[in-house]
Amino acid sequence: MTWTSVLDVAGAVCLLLGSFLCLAGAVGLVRFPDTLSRLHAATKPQTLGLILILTGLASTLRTWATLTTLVLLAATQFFTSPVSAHLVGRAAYRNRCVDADTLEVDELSEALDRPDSDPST
Amino acid sequence: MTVVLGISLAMLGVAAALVLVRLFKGPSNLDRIVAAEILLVIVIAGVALESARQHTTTYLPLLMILGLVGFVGGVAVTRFLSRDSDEPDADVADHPEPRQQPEAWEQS
Repeated sequence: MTWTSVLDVAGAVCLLLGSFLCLAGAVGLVRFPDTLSRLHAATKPQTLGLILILTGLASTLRTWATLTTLVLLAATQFFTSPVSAHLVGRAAYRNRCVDADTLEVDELSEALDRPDSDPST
Repeated sequence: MTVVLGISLAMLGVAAALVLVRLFKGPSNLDRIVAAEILLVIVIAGVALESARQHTTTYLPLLMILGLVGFVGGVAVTRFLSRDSDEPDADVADHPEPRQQPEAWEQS
């Protein structure tokens, strides 16, 4: 059992787990009832699944150039996917695609009902 | 390794098919945006698998570009679709049922 075979096995396991997470996210995307819960299901493969797959790729290829590029890609995913998920959730609320009865807490509508609220926030 | 890559690719294929179902059914365009972003993540995963299979670093810039294009495209289309009303949502009480997109964006 040398280091290269250990890394190969670890990479294969990471690739499998990442693909499975993508599959689970897709199942959630089809099965869940409204936009916000679909967003919840969909953002899991977007970060964790992709991180796992990139880890698997890095431990399969085993060069420094690969590692730096993939770390850069994972970092951009970490920063960008919350931004786009926030935008989609905000647009869903504003377009009233959200079923208010399913929400436990709805602080945004209380904040918007206040007379001094800034509608652009 | 070949078996693992085959199983992973099969799972990604099933995932892409399910995402396409959601992309087709909607019902709102925001669901389609979410589905399109996930489809791009699945494409990135597929390219990474191919790169691992061939043991080559040729596809790494492609992965980087796909990630950035997915973010920019998703944000642009979401901003385009979001309805920024001037008045705070005073008529929410009049529409207790979830309202769909304005007619102009309604598909099918």
